Amino acid sequence: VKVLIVDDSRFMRQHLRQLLERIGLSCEEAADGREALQILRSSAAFDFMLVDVNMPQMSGLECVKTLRDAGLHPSMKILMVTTEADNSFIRRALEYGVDEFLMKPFTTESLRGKLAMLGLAA
Amino acid sequence: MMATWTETEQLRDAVPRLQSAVAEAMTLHETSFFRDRKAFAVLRETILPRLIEANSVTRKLRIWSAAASTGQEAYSVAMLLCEDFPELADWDVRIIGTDISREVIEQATRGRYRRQEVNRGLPARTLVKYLERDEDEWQIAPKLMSTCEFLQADLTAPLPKLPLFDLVLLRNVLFHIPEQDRATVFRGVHQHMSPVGYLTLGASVQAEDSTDLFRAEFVQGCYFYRPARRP
Repeated sequence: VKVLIVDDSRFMRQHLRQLLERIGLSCEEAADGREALQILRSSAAFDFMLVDVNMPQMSGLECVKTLRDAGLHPSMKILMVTTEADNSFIRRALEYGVDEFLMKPFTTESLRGKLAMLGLAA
Repeated sequence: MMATWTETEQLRDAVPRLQSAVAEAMTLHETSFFRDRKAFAVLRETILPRLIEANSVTRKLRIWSAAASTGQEAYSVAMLLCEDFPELADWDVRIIGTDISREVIEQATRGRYRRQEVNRGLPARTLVKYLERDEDEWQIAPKLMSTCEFLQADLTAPLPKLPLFDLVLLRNVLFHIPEQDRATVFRGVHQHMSPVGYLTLGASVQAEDSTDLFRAEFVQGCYFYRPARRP
């Protein structure tokens, strides 16, 4: 399983990469939505994307909408990982094509639980 | 000065009120929404359809979350019923949660959860459908609150007045109950179970050595227990 981690915080990308690699997932990183789209347009190999919301250049929400509208990687699962937590925001993210939602700060167990919901971990 | 463990146990035996407090302090309140997703899948696919068929005349369903902790198990069952069994909308459905700890029962009754609690086990679509954000917490929807009731109860002592239950969830707690008290727990559960009822102890827990009041039934890879005879 190949994962794209999209977050403008280098610390958060490293943290997520460590957690995901520990359970055998292979990771690449992007620092914002625009960079994520560039990577996804040039590669067909991603199964899963973890994406933050508030990032420079392009937000996570805009990135997901662009990706889904363009029909890129239609079977790729998307987990939005963010401090944003209003129900109205979560509903909008789900409408745009996000599959699951994890609020920051999160525990390793919470992340694993969300991966399991998406069929990516036991 | 802190008492040693032996001294604490002696006190527990000597002072009935302290007994309850010590038992409460020794009990783990580990829980989450939809804990053990496989168990909920078995409830959805097999156990609840069987119970709905068995109770189709009375149109009543009674479910007991017997070690309810802070309420996530009871509310998860309520969400499952709303989501997957719309035919129960006009049934008389009650979910009762009990726990030895007054503190967790008060929290369960409030139905309010913090970020770390809603992060665990709740799919996003379920979260936005059945909980409403209120500042830094999330509140269970009134529709679910009205189906669930929480009571303090010590399973190793005489139980409060309870109905006969069709489904009893006593998951992952048997290990925390002293061996000499387990027969009392099973007797209490048996007395409060409908003849058609099911008891689950959790995926990895078996009851054979502790009681002869139930017979085991293996359903979709999970053990369930059914009353072997009426008390």
